[in-house]
Formats: sequence, C-alpha cells, structure tokens
Amino acid sequence: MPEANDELFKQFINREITAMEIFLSSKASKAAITLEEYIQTRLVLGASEETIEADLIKDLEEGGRIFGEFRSSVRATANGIINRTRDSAVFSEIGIDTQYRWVAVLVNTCPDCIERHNRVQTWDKWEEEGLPRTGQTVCKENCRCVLLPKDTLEIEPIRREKR
Amino acid sequence: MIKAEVKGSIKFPPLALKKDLQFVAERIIVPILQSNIEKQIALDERPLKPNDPKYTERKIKKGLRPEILIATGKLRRDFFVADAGPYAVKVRIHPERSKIGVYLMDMGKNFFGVSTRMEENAMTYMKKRIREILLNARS
Repeated sequence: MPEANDELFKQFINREITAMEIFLSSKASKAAITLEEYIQTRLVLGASEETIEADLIKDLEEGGRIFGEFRSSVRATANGIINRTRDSAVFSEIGIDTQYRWVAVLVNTCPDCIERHNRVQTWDKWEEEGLPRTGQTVCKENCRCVLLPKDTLEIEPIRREKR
Repeated sequence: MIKAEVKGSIKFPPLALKKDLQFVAERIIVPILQSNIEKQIALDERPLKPNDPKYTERKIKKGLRPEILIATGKLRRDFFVADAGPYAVKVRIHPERSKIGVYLMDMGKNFFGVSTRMEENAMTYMKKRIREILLNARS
C-alpha cells in the first residue's frame, strides 16, 4: 500500500506543481520605506540608536510586524519546501484577505489534518494555527496537505478501491 | 525637572526589503544549494540519499560523473534568481529541469529548499545590515 500512496502523491505533485521555486517576499505596500529611512525617522523622533537596534533585532528574531514576512521567507523549510513555496506564490498573487481551504490528500492522513481538511479561513489564521509542514500537526514535516484559495478548485477525496 | 517619557505611537509603513531578499537569494541561498550538491549533502547537511548502484554503473558507462545529482553539471548551473514583482524574488530551477527536480525531491534527494544554514546566514546578514545603517547614521 505505501507504494500506491507514493504513486498517488506523485500524481498529486505532477498535477499541482509545474516549477520548483523558493518564494521570498516582503510586505506588499506602495508606501513601503527603506530600512535607512525607518532608522532616520526614528532617530529624528528622538529614539536612541541602542533602542532602535534592540527593537529591530527583537522584531527580526521574533518575526514581528517589521520583519515578519522576511523572517517567514528565510525560515528553513527542508522537506516541505515544494508545496509551501507554491502556497506562498499563490498567496502573494491573490492577497491577504483571500480565504484558504486546507486540502488533505486523504491517504494515510493524520488526525490533525483530517480535522483541518476542507476548513476555510484567511492565511493569517492558518499561520496562527500552523501551516502544513510547519510541525503543528502530528505528521510534522511529512504533511502532504496544501492550502488552496477557497474558490480555486474543489478536490474530490481520492477513493481507494479494493483490488 | 520633569521627565516626560514619550511612547512611540507612530505606525510606520512596512519596510521595502526586496533588495535584501535579492541579496539573500543570490549570495546565500543559490551558492549554498550549489555547494551542497558539490559536497553531496542534503538540506539537513546529511549525506544525500545514495543512487541505486545499477544507476551509478549506467552513468559511468555513459561517461558521466558518478556522484549523486551530478552528471554533466547542469543542475548546479540551473539555479537562478528571478524577479517576482515589486516586493519579491524567487529562487528557481530552470523550468526545463523543474519537473525532474520535483521527481528527485520525491525520490528522497532533498536538495532544494531553505536550510537551517541559509536561515542563519540570512539572519546574520540582516543583523549586520541594521548595525551598519546605524553606524552610518551615527557618523
């Protein structure tokens, strides 16, 4: 049976993925300022260099409001890279308010993913709960689920037949 | 004397970090991807999953290099950084080779992605950038 599962997974990958990509994105905004401008502005407003440095380093390490997206982009992903990068690419094109559906392959799916399957919420909410392959589900990095924009497509459960 | 503490209530717009992401992609991610293959290690720094001995024999017979993921050297040269709009970049494999790339990953050759070393280097780079800008602002 594992071979059959692998075959299904390969088919799933081939259908869903056309390119291997590592997607690195920063926060999308036309009003974005450079790091230099940010530091200059804070200095002008009276903040000390030590405070600015401490704030920025803390934000960078914790993935806060300033560096959150940078931090997520460069976070080590190891096994889960293929689907996660595709998720990010779709996310960047469609935007932050889009609703995403958790789609499990439904073959040897772990209880956490079964529970999430077909649930819909924003990317932010999924990030809070844990994206696929980020270790938040029982299956950890072996997770084969993907997040798809709610209206993109419906995936029928894969039916296994007795041979 | 009255001491007044001013708490910052200004909400700054997001930072434009595309150049930094480009640096990370070009100077950190791609070179590490390439050097990992050269060193025959996977993203987790463990040795790459070995090839089937029969496959290695066939490669040698064809006059190709016997190492894992190396035959003609094309794969290592096919990593590149592409523009992905005003706020993003992508590290990609040449589209012609991406399908085989997916297959190889699926076969357990975990060679493509962001490794812990890349993450650490990217963080070190960004911290250095912050300190350099502050140093320049001081002078």
